Amino acid sequence: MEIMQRSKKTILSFILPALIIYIGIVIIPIFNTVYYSFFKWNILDTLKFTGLNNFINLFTKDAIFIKSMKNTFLLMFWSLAIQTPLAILLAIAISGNIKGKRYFKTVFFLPNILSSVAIGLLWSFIYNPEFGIINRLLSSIGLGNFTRLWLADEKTVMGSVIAVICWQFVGYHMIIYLAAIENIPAELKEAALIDGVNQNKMIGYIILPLIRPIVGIDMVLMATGSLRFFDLIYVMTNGGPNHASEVIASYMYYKSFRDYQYGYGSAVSVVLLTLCLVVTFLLNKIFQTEEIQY
Amino acid sequence: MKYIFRKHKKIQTGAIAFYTILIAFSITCLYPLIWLILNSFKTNSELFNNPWGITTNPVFENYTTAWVAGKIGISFLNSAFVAVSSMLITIIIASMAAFAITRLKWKLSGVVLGFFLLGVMIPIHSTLIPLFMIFNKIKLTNSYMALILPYVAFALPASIFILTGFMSTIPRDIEEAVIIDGGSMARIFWRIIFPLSKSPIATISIFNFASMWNELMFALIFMSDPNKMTLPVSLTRFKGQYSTNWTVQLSAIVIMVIPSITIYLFLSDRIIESMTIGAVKG
Repeated sequence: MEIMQRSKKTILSFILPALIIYIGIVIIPIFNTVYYSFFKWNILDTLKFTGLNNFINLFTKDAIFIKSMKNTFLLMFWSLAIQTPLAILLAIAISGNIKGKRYFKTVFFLPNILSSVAIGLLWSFIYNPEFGIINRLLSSIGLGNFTRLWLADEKTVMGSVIAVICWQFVGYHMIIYLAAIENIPAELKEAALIDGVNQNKMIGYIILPLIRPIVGIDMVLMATGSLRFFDLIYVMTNGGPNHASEVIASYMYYKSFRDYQYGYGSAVSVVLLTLCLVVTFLLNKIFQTEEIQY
Repeated sequence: MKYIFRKHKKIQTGAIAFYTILIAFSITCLYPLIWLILNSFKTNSELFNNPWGITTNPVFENYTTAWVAGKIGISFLNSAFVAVSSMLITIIIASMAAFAITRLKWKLSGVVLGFFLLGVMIPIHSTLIPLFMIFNKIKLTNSYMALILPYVAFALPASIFILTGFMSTIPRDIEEAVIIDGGSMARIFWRIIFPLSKSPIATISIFNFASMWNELMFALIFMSDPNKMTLPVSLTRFKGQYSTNWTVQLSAIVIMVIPSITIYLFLSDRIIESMTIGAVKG
């Protein structure tokens, strides 16, 4: 028994397929990307080592990159600021035995199963200035002054995209919180009710403190997801108008596969990778999860 | 009495407000999809003149145009092939790896698990350029493998995480019985551990399939041949090609979302659970 479980041949034959694909496709390319980021490399040129030049240019000379960093953090901030409280409220609202619980749960989660490309295209139609229903609705209720070229106006484009992101993902985060709330032992809530704790106090003193670790995990997910954000931006605005909705990922795509500046594009993706690691680390520190004792 | 009555009334208005908000929110989630489906049967001028209503004579041609001339049909099959094969390969090699990590005895098993889990933090963007270079060099671009390989590789971390969590809970004496009967480790895996892991395998199938079916970035860069493109890429191209033919675009979107919605209607609980399990267990 032991001998068979320790046989090197058996172990390798089970672990190697996964390990080879993972190392070949995920791990080695990361080192390549870091390596390329120190080179000037266009489609025509050969590689030319330029040290940290790409990074220096990114942060000191490239206004569009700075813009895309700002937009990425804007997107991250508003995703967290809108979705976290909204998802917690919705989860609290449908926790317990309310009527239509299954309906609400299923419908709120629905946008998450759809492809971001389909959602992006659909919302481009909804925002369309000519026949889109948002402008039509505003005009028909006498708010014609508020109609906009939503996705073509530098002032409104980020807000319009963030609204769609929240529409798509809030249901996902709600489900995570709902699971956390329903994991709180029923006796705990009953005991609190017997002690005369009202609804607001129940939320403030029992539910919120007990789901805090999940809120932390969920915020890490939301934050790193925002950093990587690409699909909706690519489909709805392609970073425009005039780079007004450029985010780090779309800029990386633009530099690498439109401008064919592979070295520079690699530097952008190194920044993105670093941000993902730093944000994960920081948020984990903030929400350092101590095991909850009921 | 008066007091009780007032209190009762207050609760009732509270409940009405509560349900009104929830129902309004659910309409916000549903209405864009209903709007999409209703308008995909209109002509362009109908959409322009009346984006709200239901059409009296539905145009099914929008769908045939999208499916045939717009190559949405071919893309649909490409997507299905890529997503299904990536999913099956992931299931097999992730289960094998999880088996090696949890049921076989070697010093580095913990380290290897940690190494796989690191992958959860890695954005696909930081592998794009090198993969594009390598795939170009070995002429892999525009082949299904160019998508299957990265889809499998990036699906491994979360899948192995879920599977190891489950396999480590299977009692140890199960193996002993088989070995006494003269079975091999391969037999233990295929005959016992793999079939026992039905439930986590269903879970990883669902969340992997969903992300593979919808993936855009790899597909955008590795597939430039219109006959090899997957649905998400085809749809983005469609926007340019049929830029003035709005309702054909709408029907192409419907073709993309209908399979997801149909499956979701039957398996919603299971799908919701599978897609959020990583966060809940993390």
